[in-house]
Amino acid sequence: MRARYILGEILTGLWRNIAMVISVVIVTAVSLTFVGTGALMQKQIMDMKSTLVEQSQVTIFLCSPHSTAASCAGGAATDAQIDSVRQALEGEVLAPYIASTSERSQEEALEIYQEQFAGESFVSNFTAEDMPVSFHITLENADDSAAVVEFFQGRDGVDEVTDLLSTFAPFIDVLNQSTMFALALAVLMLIAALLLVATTIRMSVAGRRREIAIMRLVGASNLFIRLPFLLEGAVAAIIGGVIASGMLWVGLHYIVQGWLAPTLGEQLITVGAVDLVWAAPLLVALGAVLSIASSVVSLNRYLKV
Amino acid sequence: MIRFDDVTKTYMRGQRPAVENLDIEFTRGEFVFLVGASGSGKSTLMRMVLKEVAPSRGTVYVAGKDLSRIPSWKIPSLRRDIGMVFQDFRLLPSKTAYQNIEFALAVIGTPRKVVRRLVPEMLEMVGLEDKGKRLPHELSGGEQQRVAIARAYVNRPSILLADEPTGNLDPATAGGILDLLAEINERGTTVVMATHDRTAVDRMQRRVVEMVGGLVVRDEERGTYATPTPVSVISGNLPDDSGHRDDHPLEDQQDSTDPGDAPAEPASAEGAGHGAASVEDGAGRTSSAADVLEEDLIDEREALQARDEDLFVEDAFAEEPFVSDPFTDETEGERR
Repeated sequence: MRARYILGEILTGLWRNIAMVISVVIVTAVSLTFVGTGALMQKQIMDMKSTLVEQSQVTIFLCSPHSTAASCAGGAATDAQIDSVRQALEGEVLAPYIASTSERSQEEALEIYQEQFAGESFVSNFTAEDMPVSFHITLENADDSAAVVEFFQGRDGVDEVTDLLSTFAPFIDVLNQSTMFALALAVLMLIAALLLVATTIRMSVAGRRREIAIMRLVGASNLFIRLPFLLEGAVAAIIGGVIASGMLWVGLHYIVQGWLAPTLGEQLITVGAVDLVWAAPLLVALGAVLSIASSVVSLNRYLKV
Repeated sequence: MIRFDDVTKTYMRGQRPAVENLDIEFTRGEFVFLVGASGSGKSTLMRMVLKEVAPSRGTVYVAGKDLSRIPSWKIPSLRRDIGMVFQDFRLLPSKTAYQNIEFALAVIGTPRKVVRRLVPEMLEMVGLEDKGKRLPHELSGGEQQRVAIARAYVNRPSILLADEPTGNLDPATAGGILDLLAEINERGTTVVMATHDRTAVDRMQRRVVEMVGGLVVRDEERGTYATPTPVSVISGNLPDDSGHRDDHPLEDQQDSTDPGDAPAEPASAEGAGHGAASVEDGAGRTSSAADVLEEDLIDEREALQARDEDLFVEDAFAEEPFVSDPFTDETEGERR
């Protein structure tokens, strides 16, 4: 009896305020889409940072016969120059910054080079002599890369010092900024959604005031009187959450996986439609919780014992 | 069953109380008529029994329990033991007679089996066994009131409050309703009926409590509507400016500031049968009219207060301007 009654009341209530309900659904869907986008971007940033940290973050390339940098005026790096870099890396000064280093000899470099460009005709033109010696450094703290880069940049025999993290810094920056923007929009939209829910509840209460009055009179419990309204708001918000998940899927499938990932590299763009497994339930739950909270507040205002 | 212990209710600070120093007890199984002009405090008394309003001072006991000590989440179970009937029936327009009675059971979680047994039983008791499928607007006023009584009584409450239940009905129909209330009373339910229905009171010869301006001025065991008791206002023995009113200078001021707002309504029921007494005393008549105004102001204040405080039954059934068309619900319901 109860369950059927409450279900009927929810449907009646939703139908009676169909215009309001649609607007609640749309606003919730849009705001939750922004929330989801923000969450996915943050996940992308975290993934990217951890991949970069796993790899060596700073690489020192010593001069090869083909280097054109000013510090390579003397041709390929001499053994003495290589040795001084090696000693500097092991020295006291840099010890706090460096977690581990590995050295890549000319032979190893050639191997990797040949692997990378396997099948190209020019590969056979190079010998180990043409390759630079390089040091690959993993830092204690990825944020301290600048110090290490400064230390080696411009030394005699050092061709180039690359810092992966600073290469990707602009990209991470863009993602961070976009997250902020998306979350700010999401908050605005969520406020609108909450106010809409409150208004819808108020109208719903007004539309059913006769029934409510009789229910109070004959002693229906508070929860029983309120439940249809609470669930009504929750249903609208949940539909909004589902739609938001759908929009995110479209975005992930067509924009991220269909365009961004092939363009920027599969190992860089790690988010995909798979992430909706955790994001979608989160969004739906968030929508339901917020709408129920808003309903409780507005019911306390418009519907007292 | 119901006991008021020095109860005063003031709706707005600085205003005259709607009910003042009320000290009265209604025992189990009693049939009580509350008489008195509109705004004399009858409705406030009933609302306090339902705990729709709390007294400003004093204690109300219902079934031995101090209402002020009942937590808000227990109010529903208090109300399940009290039935309430109104002058304007307050049936749900989109539901049939059967569904209206069923509603009162369904919303408190009565199992469907019990509902199927109780509702036809109630329809039979009120003599509408063949009209259960009709919507309220397809029923006469008397029949609608019977449905309302069935709805109020279907949970077998130990108290039935009736606020002018015969006020909208012709005398013959009113008699039938009164018989029904008497039958319910015979089954052991305490019935408290606020009324202006002289015939009803005189016919039943039950306890009569008269209220004037929030005070009980008469309490007779086997009373009639009019009485020789000198304090009775509705009997015309006293103009309705009596007693404590003069103690309130604020009111007098109000009366004199806006006398133009006097309602078009004549000096209300109390004057009707006793015109002779009032007309003789010209001064008494004017002040009586002023008091009607005052009483209407109280009602207005009560209503305003109610709207602010709460979603009262009264407001719910009043047609408010923001409801574009009160009948859309009805037609929707029929279509469904």
